[in-house]
Amino acid sequence: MKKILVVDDEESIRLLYKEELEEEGFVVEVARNGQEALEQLLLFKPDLITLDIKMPGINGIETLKRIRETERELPIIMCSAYGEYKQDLTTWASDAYVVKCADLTELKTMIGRLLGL
Amino acid sequence: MANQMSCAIENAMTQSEISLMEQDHNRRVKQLSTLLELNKALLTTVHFERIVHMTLTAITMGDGLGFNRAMLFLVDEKNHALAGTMAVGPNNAEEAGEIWSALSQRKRDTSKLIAQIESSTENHSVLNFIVKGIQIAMEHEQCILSRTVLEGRPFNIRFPHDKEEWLQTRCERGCHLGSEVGCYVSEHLSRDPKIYAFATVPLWGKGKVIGVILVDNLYNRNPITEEDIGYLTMFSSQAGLAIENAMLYRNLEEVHQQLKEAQTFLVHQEKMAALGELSTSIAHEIRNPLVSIGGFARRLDRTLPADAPEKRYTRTIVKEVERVEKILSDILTYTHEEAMVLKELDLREVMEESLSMISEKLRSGGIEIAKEFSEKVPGVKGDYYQIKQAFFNLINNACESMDRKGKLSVRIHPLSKNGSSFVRVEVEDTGAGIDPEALHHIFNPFYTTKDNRLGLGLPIIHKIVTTHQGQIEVNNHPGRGATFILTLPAREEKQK
Repeated sequence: MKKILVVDDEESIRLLYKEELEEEGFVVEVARNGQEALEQLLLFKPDLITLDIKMPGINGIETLKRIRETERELPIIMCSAYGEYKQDLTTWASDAYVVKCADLTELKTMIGRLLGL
Repeated sequence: MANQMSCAIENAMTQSEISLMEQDHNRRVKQLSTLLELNKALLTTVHFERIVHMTLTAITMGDGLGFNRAMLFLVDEKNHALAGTMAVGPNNAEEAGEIWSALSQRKRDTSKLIAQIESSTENHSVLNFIVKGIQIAMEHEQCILSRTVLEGRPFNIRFPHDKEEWLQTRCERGCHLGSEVGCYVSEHLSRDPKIYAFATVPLWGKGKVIGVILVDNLYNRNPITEEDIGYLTMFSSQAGLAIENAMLYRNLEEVHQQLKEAQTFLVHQEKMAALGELSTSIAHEIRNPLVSIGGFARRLDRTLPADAPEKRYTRTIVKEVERVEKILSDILTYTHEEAMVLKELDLREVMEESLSMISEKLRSGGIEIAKEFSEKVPGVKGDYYQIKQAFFNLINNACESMDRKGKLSVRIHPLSKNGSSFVRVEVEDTGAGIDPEALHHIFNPFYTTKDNRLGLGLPIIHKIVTTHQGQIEVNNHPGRGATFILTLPAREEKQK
C-alpha cells in the first residue's frame, strides 16, 4: 500500500484529504506545517507528498526546497489556492501543481499518474 | 440759350451721375451690412462642418454674395495637397430656378438670413460628393487652385481659352473640374464648357493660406466682377479665421476624445489591478473553506442512498460551491498578469483535454460532438493551462447556449495568411446565437446576459488569445448559433 503525506495548515482540509485518499486505498499521514512535514518525511517515509503552499512558518515553497535536498525523486504535488507560483514551481522541481478545489478528481488522477497506478 | 441748355444738360448729367453714385452707394452699404451679418453668423458656432457650410451658403445665397455655386478646398499640410472639403449649390439648372423663385418671394431681412443659413439642411448634393473626392497635389503649377494657395491671391478666370489658365483638375468622369460642371449640365444646357467662368480666392488663416474658395455663376451666367471678388475676399478673410478656429477646435475635440478613452482605459486597468490584489488576498481565505464545504458535501452525498430526500440538499451545496469556485478562478485568471510557461503545443491534444473536462456534461446533456481536425497541424507556442482554459470556456459557453440539445462542432486546421502560418480553431454551436445588441460587449469584463454568471468567460478567452498574439472572431447567426474562431500563430517551421 502506497503512503501519502498530506501537508496543510487547515484542519478541515487535512481531514478531507485523509478520508478521501484513504478511501482510495492509500495510507495517509498528515502534517500541519513545514516543520512537521520534514519530521514525517523521516518517520513515515511517504511515497508521495501533497504540499500546501501558503502555510505559517516554513511555507510550502521552502519546505519543497528542503525536501529536495535529500529526496530528489519523491513525487510532490503542490496545492495552492491561487495560481501565482505555477511558473516558479517548474524551476523548483515539484512534480505537479493543482489549484485547490472541492472536487478532488484532478488530485486523485495526478496521484495515480505519479505513483504509476 | 445754348449756355442755358448746356447748363441744363450738365445738370442732368450730374444728376444722373449722382443718382448712379447713390445707387452704387446703396448697393455697397447693403452688401457691407450683409457681410457684417454673415460674419456675425459665423461667430455663432465653432462646429467645423457647420462653419464651412455656413460660409459656402453665405457665398451662394442671393441675399449674401450671390454666386451660383461655391466649393471649398483645404490645405492638407501632411500630404502637401488640396483636399475638396465641401460644395454648396444647386445640382442643375432646374433646381437653381426653383431656389431663385423661392428667394424672390421671400422678404429680404438680414436677421432671417442667419436663421436660414443655420437651418440649411445636410448637404447631399452630387457636386458636394464630387468635390469631396478631389485631391490636388500642391506642386501642380498648372492648377489654378494650387496657384491660389501658393501665390496667395485671387484669380478671376473669365474665358479660359488659354490652356494655362484652365483649372487643371478632373471630376470623376474625367472632365476638368470647370467643365465637370459642364459634364453634368452641358447635357441640359448644351453649353460649351470652355466658356465656363469661375473665380478663386485664397482662404487666409492666421498668417497663412489654409484653403481656396472657388465660385462660379454657372446657371445665370452673370459675369464675375472685380467688385464681386473684392467682397468675396473680404468675407473669406473672416471666414478663413472662423474655419481655422473650427479646425483647431475639432483637433482639440479629437485629442480630448483620445484622452477620455485613455482615461477610461486607465481607470479600467486600475480597477482590474485593485480587483486582482483584493481577489488574491481573499482567494486563499475563501477557497480553503470552500474546499472543505464542497468536499464534505460530496462525501455526504455519496453516503446517502439514491432516493434520499436529503440528496437534493447535498447536490445543491456541491453545485453552489462549484459556482463560487468558478467565480474565484475566473477573477483570478482575468485580473492576474500570470507569467506564461511557453511550450510547443499540439492544439488538437489540448482541445481533446478540454473536451474531456466537460465530457460528462456533454453526454448527459445530449449534445452531439463533431470533431474535424486536419492531419497535419503545425505546433503553437503557448501556455498549456491558458490555452486549455480558453478552449474549455469556449466549449462550455457553446454547451450553455445550446441548453441540452444540439451539435457542437470543433474544427482545427492549419491556415496560411500573408506568408505566415497559423492554426485556426473553430467552435461552432447550434444554440441561440448572440443577441446582436450584446455582440459589441461580449469581450467586456463583467458583461453578462445570464443572471448567474460573472461575465468573464469570453474576456478571459480574449485575454489569453491576445497574449498569445492571436485573434478571436465571431460569426453570429442569432437563433441558429454562433461560431467562435481563434487564430493562433504557428511556431516557425524548421523545414523551409
